[in-house]
Amino acid sequence: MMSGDVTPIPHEPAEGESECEHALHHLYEYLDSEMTEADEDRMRAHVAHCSPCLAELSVEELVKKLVKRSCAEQAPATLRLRIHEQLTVMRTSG
Amino acid sequence: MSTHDDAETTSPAEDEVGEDTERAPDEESATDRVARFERDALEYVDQLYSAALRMTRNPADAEDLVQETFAKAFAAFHQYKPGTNLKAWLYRILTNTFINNYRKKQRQPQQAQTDDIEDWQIARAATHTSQGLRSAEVEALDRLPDSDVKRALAELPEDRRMVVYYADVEGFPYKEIAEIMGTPIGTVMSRLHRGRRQLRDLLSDYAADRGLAGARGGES
Repeated sequence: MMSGDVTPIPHEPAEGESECEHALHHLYEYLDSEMTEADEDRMRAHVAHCSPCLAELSVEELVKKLVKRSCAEQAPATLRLRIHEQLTVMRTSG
Repeated sequence: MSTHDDAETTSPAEDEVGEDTERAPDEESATDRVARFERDALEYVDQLYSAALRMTRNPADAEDLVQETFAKAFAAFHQYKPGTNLKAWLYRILTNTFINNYRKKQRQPQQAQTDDIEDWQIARAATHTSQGLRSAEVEALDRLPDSDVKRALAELPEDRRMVVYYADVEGFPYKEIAEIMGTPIGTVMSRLHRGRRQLRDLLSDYAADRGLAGARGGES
């Protein structure tokens, strides 16, 4: 969908950077689906054989899930009514 | 998917609501427009209220913020291009309204945030510990009540809190968050890293306070 706009991820670790450091630097881009498919495959291949990186990924995945789970609120009915009333006023006056 | 490709050509007033060259049909009557707005935009009341509640941290301000957002969106609805991302457009108005009108009221000390990339990258490399400790951390954090997660979010500096919210709750792409907040993508990524790290530390503290085993992976 956004293939032209994906944040550029360096495909190879930087000079002096281990494969794990490289994977951890880009963990959030992986988690947030901001990678190209090729880079996602590279990340999956790394965590498949690196249990510490996989474990790190699982904590971050959980925190992301916890935030989403905790933040679903329902607007009070009075707010919906206030908005509706205001729009009605704006339409008739504008 | 971008709704703001021509953003640099807009005036400041238009910038708040986003600008599109293609407008809604001129022949649309005022009544039809209200009906279209109520049908399409009001679908997002719950979501905007949830976000507003995290931003303002109190229900009365959140309600006012959402009402003001819808009033502004309605007034500018002729600038909204049908078929583009309405939710992102509404979020942009919500965010700007919050920053302009509510942030001052919050009396939260403005952190001197140097949202540069380098030191979160350094911090990240140091978090690589054994799998056993991490799975204990996962179990402990998963048992936290939602109220703890909300409390931890409330403690984050608001720029970080908003970015974490947009990425985790709404699942907006970084590029869209950057447009909503009017910042470069690098700033979004930096705030996201700092926010999530801080959030995770806070949640680990809460889990430890609750006596959940393994909360401080590596320390207990």
